[in-house]
Amino acid sequence: MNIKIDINPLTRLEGHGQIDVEWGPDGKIQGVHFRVPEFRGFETFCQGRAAEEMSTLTEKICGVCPMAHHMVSAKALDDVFCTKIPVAAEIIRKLVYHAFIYEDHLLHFYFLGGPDFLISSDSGIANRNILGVIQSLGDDVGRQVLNVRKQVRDLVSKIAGSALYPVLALPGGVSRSLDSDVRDQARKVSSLAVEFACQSLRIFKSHVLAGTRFHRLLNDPAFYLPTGYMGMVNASGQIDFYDGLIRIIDVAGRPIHQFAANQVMAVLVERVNALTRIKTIHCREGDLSVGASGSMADVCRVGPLARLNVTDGLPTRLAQAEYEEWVHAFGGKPVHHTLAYHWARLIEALYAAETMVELADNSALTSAIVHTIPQKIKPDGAGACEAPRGALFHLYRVDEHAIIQHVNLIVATQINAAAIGKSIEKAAMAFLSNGDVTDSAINHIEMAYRAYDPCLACATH
Amino acid sequence: MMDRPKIAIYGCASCGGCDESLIDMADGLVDILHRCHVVFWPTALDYRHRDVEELPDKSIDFTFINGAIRDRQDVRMARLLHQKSKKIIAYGACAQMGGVIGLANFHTVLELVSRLYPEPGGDPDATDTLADRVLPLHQIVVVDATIPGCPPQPDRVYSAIVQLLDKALLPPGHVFADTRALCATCSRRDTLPQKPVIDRFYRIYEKPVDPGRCFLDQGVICLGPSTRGGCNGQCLSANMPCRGCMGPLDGDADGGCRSLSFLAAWIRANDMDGIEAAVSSVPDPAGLFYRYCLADSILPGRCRQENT
Ligand code: SF4
Ligand code: SF4
Repeated sequence: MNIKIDINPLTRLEGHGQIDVEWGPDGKIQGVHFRVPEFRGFETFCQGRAAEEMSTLTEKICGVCPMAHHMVSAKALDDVFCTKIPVAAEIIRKLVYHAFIYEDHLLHFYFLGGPDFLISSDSGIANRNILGVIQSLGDDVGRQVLNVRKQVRDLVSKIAGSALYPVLALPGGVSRSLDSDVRDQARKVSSLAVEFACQSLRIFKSHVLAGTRFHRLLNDPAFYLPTGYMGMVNASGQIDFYDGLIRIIDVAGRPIHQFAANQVMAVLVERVNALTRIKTIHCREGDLSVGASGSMADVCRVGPLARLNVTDGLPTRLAQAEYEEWVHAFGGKPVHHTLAYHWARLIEALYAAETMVELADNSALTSAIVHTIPQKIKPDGAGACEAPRGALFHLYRVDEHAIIQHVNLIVATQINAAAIGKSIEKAAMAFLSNGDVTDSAINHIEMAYRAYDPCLACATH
Repeated sequence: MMDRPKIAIYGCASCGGCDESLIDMADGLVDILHRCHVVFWPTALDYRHRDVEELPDKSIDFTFINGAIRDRQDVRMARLLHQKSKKIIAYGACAQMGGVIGLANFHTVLELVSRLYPEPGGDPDATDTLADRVLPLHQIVVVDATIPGCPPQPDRVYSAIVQLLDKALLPPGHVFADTRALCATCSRRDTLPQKPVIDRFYRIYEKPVDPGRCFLDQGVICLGPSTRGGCNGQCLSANMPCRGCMGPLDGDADGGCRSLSFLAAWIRANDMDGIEAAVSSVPDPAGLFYRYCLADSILPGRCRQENT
């Protein structure tokens, strides 16, 4: 007789998902399925809407990364309306965007992913959450996490209306200019953010990396997955969250594609799957895996691990040093260790914070000219950014009145979905093969997807 | 731990913004987590569906449900949580009135699914798992109180939860927000036009907007007059107009109709051409006025049969 378990719902992530594991009569695992049943239909019901509403409408795809959809949408709209946005608008957009990446990465480290490794492994379900994390790190650090996140989000709210529902970016720029009070607040918050990012990295090294359990798991073959990687880079080939070209490297780290947002569908292709509402994303051509791992041959991963694998170093001083240590620890790039996502995420948080400092000091930040009135509409537009979870694309087609006719969204967790499925399968094979379904075994399987910080609401939209 | 009030938090068809809002309560969240025993909250805790199923009926004191009712699993979970809970709180615009997700009611399920699976038979059960229409929570279970907003602001959520935990005496169906329209507390209200002044409406990117003046006075549509206040006017503070996420006022049966009638009253036109010009300057009236409340409208959605 076949035996089946389902882990439902998947927890400490955004959206609805479940994992089914099935054993055959011989006691061997027969199938491991990562299923995402939800579907809301944004690509359909955004048709007919006024184009300029898209930046506030599509952010309702995901309440965890609304800013990512908001910003990418605004960039696609800049393209539709053929506008070049004023310098100050770009700096303001980048400031809130880096602030958002920063606090979202912290959210994952302390609230979502952290409970898997910041507290002792045997503490059980009741403790595996933010309270457990605060207990384990001490009240002081706990309060700091909450306080720093709050200050950064308050800054975003001050500028963008709300961190939960930003309304700042519109075709042609942003809706408001900033005064010197906001600039001063931005300066204060940014340096605090740098400090706390450094502290978080110290916590990671002392509480997580130094521990034997995480170290063992980090190097466990169950959490090792060779794939290609994709990330946005600027003109010097370095990581950029807001703008640039998308670079894809193969499993050995060789660059094989570099393209602009509007070229994305020439390079990538969406594939539908019967068991899940996620359309997975694959490379049209180019064997990324050099034949190494079959079904992963046309899959590239995105997000912190991918971005650090793709970039030619980091543009800021402290983050560059951390990045070098990270590369060294794994004996060179690309790093294929899935749990290295967590470490990469903190390095990116530091990079984001250092970038906030630079932006807050930019003299153009408080300039009064923040919007260019669009004069023209073209039939299509494309935008891309790096969301915290990886590359994000919005592609729109509009009519002559700027009413949306067609929408295509390519979202980070879609791009990661095939690799997430594979990681889950590998972990299930490793930790459940003896048929012992313990809480700890299930937790290990969940660690396989949580490393990616997946957003299933985004992935199905 | 056992005699602390039990609470549950669950999202049906949602975006996670309502969960983020709880996390943004920061110290408030820690306070609530200390005061209550949270028995289910998938975004933050590892309890599963079967843990809820095993709870005795009516054993959860307060369950906060966010998200719209979109698929059959949402219906099942809403009913299960209702069965296990003493009080159900509709939390956020989607639970209250369908929210942005309700815009899907402009389309049939088949239209939605065929965008996902363009080849016939791509997924045999996709059309079956979706409910025919998006519905607000109150059409599935009895809702005892509502916290409106998309998402509700963290401070307001915290104070609502504290009031509930303190067993504040609340009328049935209480809404945790202002009873007046957003205009009543708006810093721009002195320039809210008192008579018809609008020849045509402007789209938000078409002209510079003066941050000190009422949007309507500048010809830009703002839904403040027909929208419940209590959000602190956060969009207005970023110089963007209201889009109605707090929902209609008490006694307004249909938020979209209400917005439409308000706006029409401000149109200034001398002849039919003038009226035409003003009306046609609103690019997507249905999508705009019903942005958050289509699923709760008294007007039927597009009820075409799937197979005709
Ligand atoms: S009410 Fe708004 S924030 Fe809450 S789930 Fe719905 S769309 Fe997301
Ligand atoms: S219409 Fe909008 S801007 Fe004008 S007073 Fe009302 S809420 Fe304020």
